Amino acid sequence: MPDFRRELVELLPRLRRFALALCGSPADADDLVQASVERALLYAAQWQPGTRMDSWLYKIAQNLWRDELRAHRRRAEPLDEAEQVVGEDGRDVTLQQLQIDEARRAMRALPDEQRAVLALVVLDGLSYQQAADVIGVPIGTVMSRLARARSRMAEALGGRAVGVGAG
Amino acid sequence: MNPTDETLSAYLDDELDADARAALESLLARDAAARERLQALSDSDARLRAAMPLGSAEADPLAALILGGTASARRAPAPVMTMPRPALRRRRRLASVMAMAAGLGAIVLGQALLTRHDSGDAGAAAPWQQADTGWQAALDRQPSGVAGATRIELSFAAADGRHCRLFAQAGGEGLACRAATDTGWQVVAWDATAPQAGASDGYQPAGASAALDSAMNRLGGGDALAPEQERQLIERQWR
Repeated sequence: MPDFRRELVELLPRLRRFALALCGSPADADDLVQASVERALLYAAQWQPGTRMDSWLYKIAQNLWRDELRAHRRRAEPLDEAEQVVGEDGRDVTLQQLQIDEARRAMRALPDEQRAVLALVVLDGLSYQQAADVIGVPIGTVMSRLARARSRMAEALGGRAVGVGAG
Repeated sequence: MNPTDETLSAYLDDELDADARAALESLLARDAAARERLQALSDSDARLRAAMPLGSAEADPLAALILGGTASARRAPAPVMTMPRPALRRRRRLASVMAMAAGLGAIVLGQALLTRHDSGDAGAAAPWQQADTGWQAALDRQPSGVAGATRIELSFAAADGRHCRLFAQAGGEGLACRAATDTGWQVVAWDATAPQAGASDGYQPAGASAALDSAMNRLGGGDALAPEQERQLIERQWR
């Protein structure tokens, strides 16, 4: 059990990032992380040592979000006021913060299922197979959702809509 | 024939099989619009990663709760959070793509050779041949993924405790490391410039040079540092 708990703690930063990507708001992400950790501890016996705990944990979080928490999401909330980026001077901080806000807003504007694949593959580096297992969809679905998500992100962040269609 | 976003996306994630990858790479070599699209998609990936840094496990408000009263768990040092292993390979691949888009090829020089190349070269000189030490400053201070005369692709901690950064600039693409006690960066591998991408000859597909990869493997150690870890190291001047 200590090993299980320690591994769970090591995964907290990644779980938090996944939750923030999934929920969009820090408060919802906190709730989701806490609920996921509670459930993981409760069902610790179901996790098989030697298998990937990250995928297992993400699956718990993803299901909790989809089935229970999403309906109660808190919407009206300023963007991540708690997270300040420290730079060399004030102007730096502002520019960095603007860039971060812009990227987060762009992600938040995506449909839930696109945010999930973006978080798992682009942020967390899971393979398509692993992401497909977590979400419970075929690999082809992961691929197409990712492509759509990336296309929309690039549009929002690059200010250019140079979509390359099926050739 | 334009590549679809799906193909480009799978390429960024290293999820194409060898045939599809080779086909795409030869297309990328000829098609500037496709390269531009790939760049746009990868830029937005980089922006997203920078906007969503990892926190620390130790400082997580839930950590103490989870570990509870297990003293042994508390004594154990929390390992540094790293990205999963495939991420480094993917980022390396991406670095190759961008190097290719800039028309860079793949001739690596071992460390023993580096010191012999002390004469200047017209146009695209290797870093250690340049009077301009901007690349050193970039290695010191520039976060990964930011555009500039020198572009840092990624940072990681080598097995021997040194910090290493993969970088690209007009002259080529290289790998530099420094220990906490060093005063500067040491270039441990370098890919020199090849003819422009898109030229009918001389084009080398991305990843054709395994030299930087093998140098990175030789150095061992962890995966690519998260932006937050990198930021802290920059602040501490890599000490």
